[in-house]
Amino acid sequence: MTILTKPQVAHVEAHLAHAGLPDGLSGELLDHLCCAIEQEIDKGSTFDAALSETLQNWPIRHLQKLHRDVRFTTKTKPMLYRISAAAALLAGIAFLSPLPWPAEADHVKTLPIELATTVNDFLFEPPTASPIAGVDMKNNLSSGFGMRTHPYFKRKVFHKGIDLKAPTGTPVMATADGQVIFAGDDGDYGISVRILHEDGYVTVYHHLHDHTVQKGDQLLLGQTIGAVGSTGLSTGPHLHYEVRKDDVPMDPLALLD
Amino acid sequence: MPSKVLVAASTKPLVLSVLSHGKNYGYRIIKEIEALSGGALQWTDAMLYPVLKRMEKEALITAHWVVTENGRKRKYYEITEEGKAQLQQDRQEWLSVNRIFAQLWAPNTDLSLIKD
Repeated sequence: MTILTKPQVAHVEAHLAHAGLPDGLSGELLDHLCCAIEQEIDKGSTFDAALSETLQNWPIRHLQKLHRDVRFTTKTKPMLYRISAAAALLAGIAFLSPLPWPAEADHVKTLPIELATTVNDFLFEPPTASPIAGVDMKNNLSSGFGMRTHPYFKRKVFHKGIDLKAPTGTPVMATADGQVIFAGDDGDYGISVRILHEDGYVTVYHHLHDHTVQKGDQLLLGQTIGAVGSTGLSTGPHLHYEVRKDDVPMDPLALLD
Repeated sequence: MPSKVLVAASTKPLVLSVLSHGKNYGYRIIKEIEALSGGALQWTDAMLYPVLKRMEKEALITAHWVVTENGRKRKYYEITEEGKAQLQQDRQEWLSVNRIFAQLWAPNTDLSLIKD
């Protein structure tokens, strides 16, 4: 069985260092990648070939997504406990089945709800990133989520998103993978983009200077969709950013750590 | 390849089951499952780590670092008493579902209770 030498491990370590992961996760993945390389060598590969294949399977982008997944799945937000189709199916079987439960299974009648609340779908990523590269949402708010005095109409209205300060022309990015469902002029909201993500999330970007994506485009997290502007009913350059879950607006900051 | 929802529902019980045979580390856990399923169940490697982290937080498993012979650090996971209790419950649940399917799929199954 192959065991990588220290200099060989250093190659893998250098790759991981680019991802900027916390020590614990980085150390664990280092062992994982080394194991994968060792296995390839055992199967007859050279170190160089095995290294290159393994690193290709683990690009920086994947490593960083993994890090976000770890952070997200360890947060105890109620939205994490989503009833999956599997649980619903089990519930259906358990409650509607005309067949009696086997006698020895009497004590497990709590099955459906228990299972429903422990199922945790880790295969998708909610929109947790900032829509403006390098701009921390919390520290660049010009207007937060919730009730506020409207800057244009000067009366109290519910603000369905957040306003981020940024100069005209600053690139705006998709905050998770998804598909563009609207791109164009949206009246009072100015030039807008709406993106549909997995799991019922939609993100909305208003008052853009322009948009560089079209309806139907498939986007990756971090892809530029347009630039900050002041189109529509706006009093100055800023980005209005909204996150909706199943059509209900939520505070984008609530998705952050 | 099982559907996404089935993978989501079965991952935790599978990890607990592997760890009930003794402590183990990420790469090996993935390989054990792959081997046991004859390759039918292949988790994407990256998927396991968020799950392990979450299970650690839920106190179903504990983790500790071990330095292997060649000086590499390896994170081993171990099932806790809480994890064992959870596995026992999961086991009952999966067996129950399994039993229902077995009855429904048996030839000549008579669904007499819904006949009228």
